[in-house]
Amino acid sequence: MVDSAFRVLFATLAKVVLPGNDRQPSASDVDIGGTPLDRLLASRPDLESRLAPILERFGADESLTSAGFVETLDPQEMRILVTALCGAYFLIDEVRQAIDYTGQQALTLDRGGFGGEELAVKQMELPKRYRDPPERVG
Amino acid sequence: MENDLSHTDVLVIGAGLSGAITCQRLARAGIAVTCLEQGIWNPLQAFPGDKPDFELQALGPWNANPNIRNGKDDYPILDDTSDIKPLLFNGVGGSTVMFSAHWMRFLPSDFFTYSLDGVGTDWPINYQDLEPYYLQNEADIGVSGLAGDPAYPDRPDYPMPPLPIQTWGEKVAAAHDRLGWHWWPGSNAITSRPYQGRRPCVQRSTCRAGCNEGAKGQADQSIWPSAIEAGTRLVTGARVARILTNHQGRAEGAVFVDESGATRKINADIVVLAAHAIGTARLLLKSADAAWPDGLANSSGVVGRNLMMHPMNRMVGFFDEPMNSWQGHWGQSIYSMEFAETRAEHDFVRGAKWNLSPTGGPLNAALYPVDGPQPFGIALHDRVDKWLGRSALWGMVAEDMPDPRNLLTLDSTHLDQDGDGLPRLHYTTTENSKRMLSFMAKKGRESFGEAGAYEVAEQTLAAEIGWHPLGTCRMGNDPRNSVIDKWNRCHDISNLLIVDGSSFVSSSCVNPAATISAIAARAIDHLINYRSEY
Repeated sequence: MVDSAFRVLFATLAKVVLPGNDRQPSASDVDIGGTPLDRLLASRPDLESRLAPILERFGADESLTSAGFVETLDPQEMRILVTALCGAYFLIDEVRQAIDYTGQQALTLDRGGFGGEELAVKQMELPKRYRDPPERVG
Repeated sequence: MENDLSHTDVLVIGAGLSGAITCQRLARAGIAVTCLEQGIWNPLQAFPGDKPDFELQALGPWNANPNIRNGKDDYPILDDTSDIKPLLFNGVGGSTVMFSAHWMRFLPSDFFTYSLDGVGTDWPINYQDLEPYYLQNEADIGVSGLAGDPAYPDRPDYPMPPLPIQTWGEKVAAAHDRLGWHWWPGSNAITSRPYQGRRPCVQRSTCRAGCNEGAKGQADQSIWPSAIEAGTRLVTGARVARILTNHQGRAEGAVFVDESGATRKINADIVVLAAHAIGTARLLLKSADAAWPDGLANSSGVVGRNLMMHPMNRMVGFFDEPMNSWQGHWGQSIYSMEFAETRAEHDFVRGAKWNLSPTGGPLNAALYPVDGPQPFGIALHDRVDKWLGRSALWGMVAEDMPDPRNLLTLDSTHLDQDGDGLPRLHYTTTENSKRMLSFMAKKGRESFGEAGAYEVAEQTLAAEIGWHPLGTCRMGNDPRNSVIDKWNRCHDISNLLIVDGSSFVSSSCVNPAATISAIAARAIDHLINYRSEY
């Protein structure tokens, strides 16, 4: 279980990485530093140790705004941060509903065909386009 | 835990696709076969695809990159000297647990790159040699597709009809029809109907982290059950440390570490390596001794060399129409061989195969490494908004040419638990590959544009795409520049076979699984029929 400092720093950076828009709640609206963070770390406990140095550095540097700090992250750090923030965010039902994402569902295959049958027939009628190997040439 | 592992007729190392086929055939022929696999056999419910945190899992513990996954059965593969990062899986089923199940035969010309195009080396076998085994394996594994593709020689119907090509597939197929370009419904080792007791695909689009339905033809689901039923002895949690040879210069078994951590030995009359192009080459190099100072079966100096990796581009087309493109087998919806063969007017030789696929969920949309910086803030929302459900992805697989400077070695300073060097990949993308993929990117934009995409994003020369390491113990007639002969027997050690992707002479531009399985089946049929000569 992470401490309150971790949660506050996580949520503070979330404000700039995941603001709201006219469709979606912001990370703050969904209390990203609370239950969503717990759910993230239950799924990916390895992210705690990867986030910790980033958040510690952020907490220790009062010279930068949150956005300014994010700009200082190297690609690997940025990936860790966005993975964690978006990983927590997109697990939330309210967010999924807002973006019309049903999750990865099990669907029944349409038995009627594969689609594009007429176009496939046109392809089928074209000349062969592979090259014969040399032993069959001539 | 098996107590009596003192002897077996045939020892197979590795329970991936080629190992599974090897064991199935040998066991069906009544031959006592034991397979040692360092990983475990994951049950269907272990795969994360049917859980809400699938995307998070696929980025971490179920990532195809063993250096990211860092699982109990993984070992570090040093790749900072490689443009392309290796992707593989250690466990029963091998990399097929995570593969996307594209099932593609080599083209006839793929076996003759030197004779036809003056590059690479010709194989000692050809398409006709493998054709019967392509067919047999399709039936065993359960492949869906459509016969009649003009990019290939004639063939019988697939075991099952093709999976739906989806809205994005129909758009691009229509575009290619207008452009006069090739396209064809995807051939996949994925069931489109109930098949041999397996359920049909449910289009969940989580194929790359194991299929919860058993619909994907991963070897743990499609081959291993029948291999076990036929009498194969499969030992999991058994990490082979080295292969043993005797004073007559024959392979006589292996030393392995079992799941309790005990070091044990198993004797065998014949040893078959099926440990992947990285694992097999690594094991041969680890097995160096006084008789084989440069690695077992390596009088040629070729073991580990000619590493081929299939450089790739990826291109994402964005469409206005909602298509639910987070669903759909992944898997290939359609493929195109329009630019697969060498053309005189190009500034490169050989070609690339394109495969069209869905584009995943919101986390994938947020993080996908297309060219440019990682967006955040409103830009991140905008990216997810235009990506989710309204995009399609072209993967462009460039044929890689063998180059002895691209190779696997054992590192001199980073050691594994046996005190041997960890495997290190040395791989530089060739200029031919770069020119090829630059051309393909331009054509990819044309394809998506004609299909109605309003924008195209690109991932140029992707690094995290090392799905197809090949060629590290290649086949050939000349023992001076090859490791195995045309029956996959080591030139140096006649009762040691190599049946995995390390055996490849060229890489083609297509996914190698179908050809790996055909080569393995052919090699083992020869072993069965001429066993007294081994």
